[in-house]
Amino acid sequence: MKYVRELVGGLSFVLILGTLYFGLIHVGPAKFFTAPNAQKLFYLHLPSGIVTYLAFMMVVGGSSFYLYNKSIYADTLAKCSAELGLVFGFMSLASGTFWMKAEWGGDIVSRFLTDMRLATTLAMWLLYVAYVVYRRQPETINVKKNAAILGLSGMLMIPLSYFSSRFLRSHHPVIVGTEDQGSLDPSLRLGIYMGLLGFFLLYYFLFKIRVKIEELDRNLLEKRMEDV
Amino acid sequence: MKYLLTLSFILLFVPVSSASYCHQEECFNDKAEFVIVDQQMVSIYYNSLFEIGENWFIIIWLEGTVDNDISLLFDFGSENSKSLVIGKGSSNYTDSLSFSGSTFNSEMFNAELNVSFSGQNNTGIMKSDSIVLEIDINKKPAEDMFYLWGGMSVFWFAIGAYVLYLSAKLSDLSKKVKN
Repeated sequence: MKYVRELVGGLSFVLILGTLYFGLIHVGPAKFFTAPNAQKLFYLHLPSGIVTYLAFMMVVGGSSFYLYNKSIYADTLAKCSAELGLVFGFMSLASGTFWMKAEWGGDIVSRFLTDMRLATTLAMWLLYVAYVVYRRQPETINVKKNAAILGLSGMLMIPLSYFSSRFLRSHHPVIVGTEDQGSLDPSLRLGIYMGLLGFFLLYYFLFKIRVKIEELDRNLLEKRMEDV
Repeated sequence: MKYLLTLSFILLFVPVSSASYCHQEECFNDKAEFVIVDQQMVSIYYNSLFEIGENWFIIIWLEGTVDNDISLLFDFGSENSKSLVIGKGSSNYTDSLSFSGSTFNSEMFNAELNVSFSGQNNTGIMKSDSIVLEIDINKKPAEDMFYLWGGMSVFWFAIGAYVLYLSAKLSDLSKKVKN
């Protein structure tokens, strides 16, 4: 049990390498795409996007638990997940922007302003940038409470971003829960599932390290307080 | 009205001029010469590199006068051929032909372009001969590769930077706790 975290980290690395192999080599150039090579970004874009939603949902969950029972662990969970959500969100937004530029062309700024999926996802990401920046000050009860309220606003932003491509004006494709999901090529599906598992494990690995840092920080602070 | 006409003129001709190709002899890297029916010299100007996706041109230059029609055939094989007829009485004649950029879809070294001619000489005897030009077929890297590697690089830089940040912070805190 001592090396579970390292094992999970190693496994996630292997799975992500496997995803790259499937995406870049095994399935060959993508059909029916204007940019068949840039389409390979999909194998990283989709899992990082899903993990971003997961991380921000953890912030929502942690924040609501903190507001409910003042649980320190729930607050730590929300704080660490928000930071990880920013990293995975950046990866998803960056890979999506490169892919979008190659596949759709046009001006990136106007795409972000007019496509509702892109606009709401960027807004959700910026909301949690604000959350993380807000939490960089000394942690008083008030700061934690205000941060939890800010974190809870993801209850609105996460579904808005996720469902925007279904109900609002957007070019972003919808796969999960549609006929396209069933018609995915088996090798392509294997690549995506491998990527999803790899990114979930990577999230878990980084989350455990981040929580450990937070605990060490808190212990150090308590020790200093005792010394004073 | 004057400005409208000027704008229409520009819009009409700008796309044409931007898609123009150089047909001057100095724009071609390679030259082949051969003698046809009545000792007339034919020079062929071409580039020995065929870029897939771009039209590939040949300029033909005839020195002298032909008394009968001469047929020239440029054949890459696999039904990729073009023909040209130098008409009876042509003197110091020049012409060109092109192969579409989609003639090939994969790279190939030393693809053979068979250039053959046939025609009657001034005594009515049928003459024919051929030469072979070696052409390298090149496929340019796809433009969207830039976006693929751009997206990949940003992606891995982001995760790498975050892991380095976590690692530095963890070791710093561990040292402080030990002290």
